[in-house]
Amino acid sequence: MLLGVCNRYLPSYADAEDVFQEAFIKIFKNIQSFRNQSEFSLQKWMKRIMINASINYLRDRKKERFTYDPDLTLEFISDEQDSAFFDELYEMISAEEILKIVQALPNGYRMVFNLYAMESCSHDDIAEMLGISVNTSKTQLFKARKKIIAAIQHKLEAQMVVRKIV
Amino acid sequence: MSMKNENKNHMIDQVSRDKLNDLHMEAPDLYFKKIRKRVAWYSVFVLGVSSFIRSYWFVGIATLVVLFGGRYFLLHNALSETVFAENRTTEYTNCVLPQPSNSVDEKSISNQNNANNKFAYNIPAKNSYDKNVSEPDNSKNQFVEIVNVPKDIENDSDIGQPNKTKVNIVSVNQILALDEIGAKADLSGPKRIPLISSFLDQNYLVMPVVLDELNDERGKPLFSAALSLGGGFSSPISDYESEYDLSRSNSISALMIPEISMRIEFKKFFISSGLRFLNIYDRYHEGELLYNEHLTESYDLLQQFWTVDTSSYWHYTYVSDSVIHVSDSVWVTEYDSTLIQQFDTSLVNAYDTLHGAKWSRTSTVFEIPIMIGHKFTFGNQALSLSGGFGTSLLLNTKGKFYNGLYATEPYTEISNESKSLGFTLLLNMEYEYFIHERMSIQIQPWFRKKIYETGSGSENDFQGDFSAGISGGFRIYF
Repeated sequence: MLLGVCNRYLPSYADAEDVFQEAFIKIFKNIQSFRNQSEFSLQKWMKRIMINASINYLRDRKKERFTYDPDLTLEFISDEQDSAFFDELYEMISAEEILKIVQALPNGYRMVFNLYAMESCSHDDIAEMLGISVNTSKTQLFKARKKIIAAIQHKLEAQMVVRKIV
Repeated sequence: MSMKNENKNHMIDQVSRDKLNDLHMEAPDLYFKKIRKRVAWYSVFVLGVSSFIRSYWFVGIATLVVLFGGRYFLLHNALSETVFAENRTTEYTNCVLPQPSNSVDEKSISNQNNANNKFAYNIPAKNSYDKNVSEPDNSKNQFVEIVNVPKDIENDSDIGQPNKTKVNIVSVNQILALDEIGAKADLSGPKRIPLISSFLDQNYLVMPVVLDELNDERGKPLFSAALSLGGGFSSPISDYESEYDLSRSNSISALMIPEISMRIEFKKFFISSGLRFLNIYDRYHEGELLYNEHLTESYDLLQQFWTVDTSSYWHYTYVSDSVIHVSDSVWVTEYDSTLIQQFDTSLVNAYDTLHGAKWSRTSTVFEIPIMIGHKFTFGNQALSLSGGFGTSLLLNTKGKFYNGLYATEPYTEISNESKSLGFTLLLNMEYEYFIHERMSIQIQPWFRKKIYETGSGSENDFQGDFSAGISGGFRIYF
């Protein structure tokens, strides 16, 4: 699970491996500071360290660019497509494929999306954590979602074409 | 934002959460192996020695092999010396010697009682050897007879000599005794051992005494200085990783270490310190330097937004769909068209087009080691085991890049004068062979482990995690 967390935040498996190892060493060194408060607190604590290590890794390498992509619009997916699109999502796309899509996001998109959608952080928390404004956080999340939807849609369409050919 | 869009957003979050939260990725064993190695030093304090041993068992095995091998070698040498020395002893014992002088008496007899003392070589040697109560101690190579003459045989007619003296337990300073023997019996024995000349002639009889004499002096600290030159290899410094890492991992890092050190010995234990210059030579494939992890960035260029999409190596650029692609042209991929047609798949061969591309770098590091250790003495040889810490300062780094096409001329050069500080754990084993009572030649295998380095984890690293090698030199005792 912890390796999965690193993979969600980082663009490649090689990066995830580095951060996973660094984070594990941090866990090991700081295990004495851990206070067991509930059944899952160790898991949460370790996950928190993995997330922080991933964010720090991206920050240290000066790669978190909060990109602006003018091509993306709010109506990227038409309303007519919505129901069919999401109905098929669960069936047709695997966790690995979602992971690849998330990994392919720009670093800024990926971090904000992970923190908001996966860790349920508020925009205020994200802004504080990443040192950005709340509006930037919102914008990055919005664009991350659009990119993910576009990528998923592309994958689904490709699968449809294959089905028709077969 | 419309309700539909809100709902859409919520759904994509939900899909991602559901799918990725359950995503179970098994970390390969290799990950944990690396982690175990890196935390082993801390684990000594947290989890106990067993955790350390699991990761560094080979260091212990290597030490045991060297120790037992060394011990066997020394024992073997000692036996050879015994045989040789017994022959030499016989030569000396054929001489009948006059009374020793008082000067010898003062220095060579412990537990002095002038009224009762008698020198071993004042007794006809052959007889004394036959009747000797104490056997020669082969472990210390004392081949000149050390005689224990009990009171009940002090009047024995075999020992009868004018002005004879009596002794209970006599220990003889063999250097002076042999000098005296040499002088009085005209055996041309030197008063003191020359540095190297006629070393072979004198060594077997005299050298074992040297360390004993030094040991006797160890009531007070014994100072020594050593000069040595060593070389070794280090684990790779670079932590660049690429998709073709295996194909390009031809990195090498070598060290050359001139060193001067001082040692203070307190009986069997010692503290040493000194100065050493580490010249660290790194050689990497160019790809490791040029490698860029995948990165997408946006720029405002010519009043347009451009996204720069990098992958692998900065070699080749093309523009497509408003995206500037910076790609790897070093690696060429080939597709097998036959396979593609028949089986709807592809076989990709990738190969490197720049064979001679490399990056070489030289770092000069100044280090002060502080170590403590234990010394084992075997006749005229000694083995010291020591461990401690070193503080190192990176003085400068110079590097050259070769692009592979014009391999003899560097494509570009770098010079970095920024200082960086590091701390290392040091383990040394030093074998000494005494060629003179105050001088030894030494061979010293060593092991270094980087503990901390300022700027660690970036391109500023100046030494690998581990390095090991061997040094040789000489040591002078004051």
